[in-house]
Amino acid sequence: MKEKEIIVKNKSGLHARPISNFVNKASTYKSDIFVIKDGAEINGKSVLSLLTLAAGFNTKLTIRVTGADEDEAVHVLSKLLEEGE
Amino acid sequence: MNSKQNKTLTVKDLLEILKKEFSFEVNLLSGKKGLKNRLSTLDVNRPGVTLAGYFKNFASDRIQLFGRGEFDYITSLSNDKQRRILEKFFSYKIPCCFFINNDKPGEVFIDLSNEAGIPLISVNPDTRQLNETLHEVLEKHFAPRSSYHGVMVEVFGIGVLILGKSGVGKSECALDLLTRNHRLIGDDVVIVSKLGGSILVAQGPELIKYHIEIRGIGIIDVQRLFGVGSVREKKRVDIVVRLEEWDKDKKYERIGIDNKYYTILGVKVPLIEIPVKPGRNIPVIIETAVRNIRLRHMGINSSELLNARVQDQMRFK
Repeated sequence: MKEKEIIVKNKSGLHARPISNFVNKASTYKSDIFVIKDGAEINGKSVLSLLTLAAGFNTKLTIRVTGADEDEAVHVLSKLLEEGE
Repeated sequence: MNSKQNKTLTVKDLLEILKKEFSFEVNLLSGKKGLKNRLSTLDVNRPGVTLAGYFKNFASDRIQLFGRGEFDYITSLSNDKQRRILEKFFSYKIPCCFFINNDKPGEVFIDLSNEAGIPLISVNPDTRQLNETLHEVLEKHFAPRSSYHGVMVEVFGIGVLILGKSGVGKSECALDLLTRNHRLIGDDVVIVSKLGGSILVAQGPELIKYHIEIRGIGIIDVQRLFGVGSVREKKRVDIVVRLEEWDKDKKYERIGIDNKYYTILGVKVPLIEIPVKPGRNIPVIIETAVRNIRLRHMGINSSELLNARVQDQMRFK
């Protein structure tokens, strides 16, 4: 299991487009992927679930990846979550 | 699955709910400072013996409800006696006190509660109605809950929670069920609360209510596309269906004599595991499973009856 904390740097927050990019990338990994906000775990391969985060600019999130390709996944996905536009 | 933390509920929030959702006449008599007090438990206390001076085991963290008996007793006391008992009463950290039938306590009571910053609230209903309403509101708020990644649908009146890995076809299955006139409660994130100790009720998060994501189309608004009859706000979880990729080494139910269960918040719910592979029409299988469960509710268990027939046949040979 790999975990990483990030802060959303996108000024308009995690809206539909960054989330769609994130999910598309996340779905290419075999690992289970979760995004955690205030203790609530959200499935990282589901667009609707991630939209419920309503994570605006500067929100603190944690990404948790468990599985065979967790090293690469956590690296690539945390970047997308942090800087995705 | 993960447990969701409940939002905090303050006395002010509670009063708003009583006014808006239940049309109660709500009068805040004193203790405005304490409107921010947080409620922490779903129990309501009747402070009868406490007022008589017995403070052992006083459930001070609960809402204190002054019914006819408590109110008559405290107002029958002399001002001195009232003051003595209420000073002690208000030295506890009480969230708030409720009075029924628009009762208004005397000056001593009002003054002491103002000093302590504990709201006194008078409402129009009687004890029974207030008690039931408070219980309903508090239970809804403090009920244990957790959220699941899955789809909640109502099929022939039975609440079905469909679980399974991403990409196994849960949402597509829900869409198929919708075109067969069944109803959607929530997609992707399903929040299940436990009410009354054993009743599981599911609903979707407000923000994405009645939307589902279909790969290839995107996010669709089910209520607008299929009409108001195709959605439902909440539904009891009667069965859990788990969709999984066909595993040739796993034994799937072939007869229907062994019952499996899925545990949600400590409550056992009948579980049906359905292997997915091309050529298997999952929505029809779910419909059939539900019909079978309804039949069982009516006391008819097809697989047991058939087994009994086979055993009878052997006996007479």
